[in-house]
Parts: sequence; C-alpha cells; structure tokens
Amino acid sequence: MTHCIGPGTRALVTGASWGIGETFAQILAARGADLLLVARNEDRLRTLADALAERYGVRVEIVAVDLGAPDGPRRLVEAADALGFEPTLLVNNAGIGVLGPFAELSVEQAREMVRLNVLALADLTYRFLERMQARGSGAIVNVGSAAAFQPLPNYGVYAATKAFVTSFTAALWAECRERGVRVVAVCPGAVDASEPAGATPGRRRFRRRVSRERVVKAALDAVARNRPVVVPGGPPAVARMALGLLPRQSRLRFTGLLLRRYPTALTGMRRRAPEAQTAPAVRSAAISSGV
Amino acid sequence: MSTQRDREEPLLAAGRVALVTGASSGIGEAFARELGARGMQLILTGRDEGRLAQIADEIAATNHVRVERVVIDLTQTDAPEQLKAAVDGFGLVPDLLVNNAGAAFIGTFAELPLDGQLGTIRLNVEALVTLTGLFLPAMLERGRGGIVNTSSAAGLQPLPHYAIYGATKAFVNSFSQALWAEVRGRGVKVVAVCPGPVSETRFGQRAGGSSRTALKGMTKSRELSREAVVDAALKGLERGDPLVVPGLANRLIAGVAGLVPRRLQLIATERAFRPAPAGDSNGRAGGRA
Repeated sequence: MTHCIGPGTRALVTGASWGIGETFAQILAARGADLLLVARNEDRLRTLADALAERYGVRVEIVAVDLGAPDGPRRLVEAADALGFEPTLLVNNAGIGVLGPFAELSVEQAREMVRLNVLALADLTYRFLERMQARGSGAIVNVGSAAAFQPLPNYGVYAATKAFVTSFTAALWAECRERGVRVVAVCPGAVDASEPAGATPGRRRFRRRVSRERVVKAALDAVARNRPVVVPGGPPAVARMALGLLPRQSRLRFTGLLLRRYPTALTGMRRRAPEAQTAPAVRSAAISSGV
Repeated sequence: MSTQRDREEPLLAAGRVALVTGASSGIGEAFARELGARGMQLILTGRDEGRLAQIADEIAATNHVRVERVVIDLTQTDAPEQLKAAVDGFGLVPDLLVNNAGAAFIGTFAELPLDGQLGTIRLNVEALVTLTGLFLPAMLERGRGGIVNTSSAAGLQPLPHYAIYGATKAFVNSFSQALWAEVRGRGVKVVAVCPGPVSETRFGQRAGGSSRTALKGMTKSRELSREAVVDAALKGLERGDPLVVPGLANRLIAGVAGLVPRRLQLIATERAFRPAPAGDSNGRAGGRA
C-alpha cells in the first residue's frame, strides 16, 4: 500500500481539459503516473493527452462525458472499465460556478451546479471508493474551495456546493481512516487559473492568488500526509477563525458587500455582464475557479 | 429601525399563504399545524396520501382555513416544477415557503446503497434550491415573503457516518445564509433552522442509533419537541435571523465545534457515531422525514 504518487499510480482526473484539472494532469504525468482524463470537450482532451504521453512517456486515456448528466458518472465508470483503467487516485475536479444573485440565475443554472459539483462528485466517489476499499488502498482528492468556509452572498449556490464537498470529504476521511483509503478536500482561495473561452479576466485587485501548481502540490502532499482538508492560498486559519467569531449577520453583510463591490476579490473572475448571461460560452465562466 | 419594522406587513398572519413540503409527518406536520392555527391558508406536500389528507382535514376543520394538498415525491426530476404548476392551479401565491422535506441515510457512506444517498442529495439540496428558485421571484416582486429551510445541527460540522446527510445540511446552511444577505431589505426573509435531536420524528428515532450508550443519553438530554423547533424557526424568521439553532445545549456544541482542531474532532465523532456491528437494527438506517 503506497500513497506516494509516481510510476504505478493510475489517476483519473475529471474536468481535466483546463485550469486546475489540467495542472493535475501535467504534474501527475511528470511524476510518472498513468492518466485517464475526463471532460466534455474531446478535442481539448486529446491535444492534452497526446502532449503528455509524448513528453512523459506515460499512458494517457481520455473519456469525453458530461458528468452533470444523471447517468454521466455511471458511463464514466463503464468507459474506464472498457479501457481496463482501474484508478488508484481519483481527482474529482470537475465543477462549475455561476456568479450572481440567486434570483438572477435560472433554475437550470442553479441545478447544473448542484448536479456537477455535488451529485456527480458523490456518485463517482462512491463507485471508485468501493473498489479502492476492496483493494485496501487508494486515494480520492475532491476539489473544494475556500468558499466552503463561509456563505458567499452573490455566489451562494456555488459556495454551498463547496460547503457540501468539504463537509462530505472530511466526514469520509474519518470513515476511511482505518480502511487504507485516503480522502482529501483541497480548498484553494483565489486561483490564478487560465480561463476558458468566453470568460473575462478579472480585474487585478485583491490579487492574493495562488498558482495552480501550488494547489495541486498541496493536494498531493495532503494525500501523502493523510490530511482531510488543505487550504492553499486561502485566508489563513487564524483569519478564518477570527471571521467565525464575528456575529453571523456582520459576517454575511461583510462578505456580501465585498462580493457585490468586488466580484473579483474572491473568484478572480469578473461578474458576468448582464447582456452575456444567456451566452453559452459564459456558462462555464467560473468553472472550478476555486474562490 | 423600529419604524421600518412597524411598516412591514406581517408575514405570518391570517389569510397569508404558506407552502410546507414534507408535511405528512414530523417537523413539517408541526409547521403545518402551527401555521394553520395562525389562520394561514396552506398548501401541504408529502408522499403519504392518507396521512397528508388526515392532517389537512384536521387543520382545515379546526382553524377554518383553506388547506390544499399535493401528493408528490420531490426526489423526482421536474417534481418541483409540477408542484409549482399545482400551486398556480390553486390560484395561490405563497407568502411563506417552508422547505422541510428531507431524507437521511445514516451509516457508513461506502456501505449504504448509492441510490438512497443520491436521492437524499436530490431531495435535501436539488429540490430545495429549485423550489426556492421557483417561488422566490413572486415574493421579491411583491416585496413580501419568507423562506424557512429545515436544516440540521448535523450541518454545522462534518459528521462521520452522516457524511452525505451532514453535507447536504452544510449546503442548506451556506445557501440559506447567502440568500438571506442577498434579499435583505427587499421584504423577503430567509432562515435556516438547525435542530439537534427532535422527539416524535421518525428521523429523531433513527438518529439515536449510535452504538454508544453515553452518546444516546447525551442525545436524549438535548432532545427538543418538534413544536419547539417550529417556534424557534418562526421566531427567528420574524426577528430576521439568518440561522437558528434551537436549544441552548445545541448552540453550545455548535459554538465549541469550530474551535476544536479538525482532525481531533473528526476522529472523535467518527468513533462516537460509528454504527453498531451488523445485527443491531439501529446500526444503519435510512428513510425520510
């Protein structure tokens, strides 16, 4: 049983076509791990897979699937089985965040966040955890966000999905402690993410950002040290605790005001322009940006 | 500040309309009876048709109020839209939405059936968010409304062996508070109520399923009646609180939880809530309240 990531590791990374997921793929390949990369966009996946396979000489498979669809997770497991790829490391990174007051989101936008960030993550965790426990080893990294640690007015559903991820993962860590499977939630603060097509780069304000490399390394390090939750580039634990001591209503007013005035403060993304709200490209504007 | 409050139209008044999900038992039933006693018109949902009809008839007869009922399983896709259509069909526009329907599967995540756990998420999270999204716009338009989300003290910290349940309630707490801040000043109030153990609920009976006798005793001593939970929720809503934890002992536990180092807390709660070995029927339980 080893929790060192390297040759022999078979890692399945969701949301791997860009951002933190892409960086997970790069760093894992560089360490000699075989990969199964998952995203909706097959072309981007193939380009990335070919580049990594050539550069690092590792096996890289791809599966294009929409994990937000109800049968998405089941189809991914079937595809992995068909490829004979049995992951020893699962990175649940796929996620979506839509910024804006709840009343201005469509019900479908809110649901999409729940389906991908919560339902698909729990579904995949269950399906692969079962097998890892049967083998007595394995690791699961769930990409949460520092948004998990306090409600975020104007980013409420996204923050709540990440509160789910962090709570679920921490509880699961304790359940799995004695069964050889390690589980970690990595909860980055504002991430210096590459942005998908259609997203507007954020203003350069509050740029206390953490690089994607640091996020990935922190996550893998947490696996090695068997930590349940790691917060790279987030507000320091002391600041989070101090915020927690403020009366609840003051806290909410503060974060609400902050996000309304400076949408980029925590997300690194600009608030969607009103006219762009229905543009399909913007739908993914803040995918797993990690507040 | 008091002048602003004086000008507000009372929300929980006779003639106003309340929609209560999960009203055929437990805390939802208690919400329905209390709101009916205040003279509000009610729309009640539940899955148990017979029980729902009995409760609705009793409330209507006692309080001389209109009580509609919708038998619906909110874990089904599009169920929230169906409920919205049914409510529109009654010609009613809810002033108060009580998102109370919830499910709990208790036990070790990897050992419980997947379907039940995903169903728990669909009900506790997806249906709650969708119903809120469907009924909030009319409230904002009128500048009057209230949303009560029945959450749980299990959502205030990660809870091993309640991994999914606790996480859905962490979602509800985070979402409710963010929404509270977004709509404050627009006449719509939002509150999440986070009860600890509650007596006379099917869920309360199962939640005592710990293998540790000491914990059972502690659980029992914190137990509140469902009427006390409803009272705390409605008072919190009227006061304008974003989140209410009924019961002093529960508030103390919630306050202390944030100060204990995470791993220590997780390891301790994992042991405390570890299901009894197979054979003990309390060991795992699932169901909906």
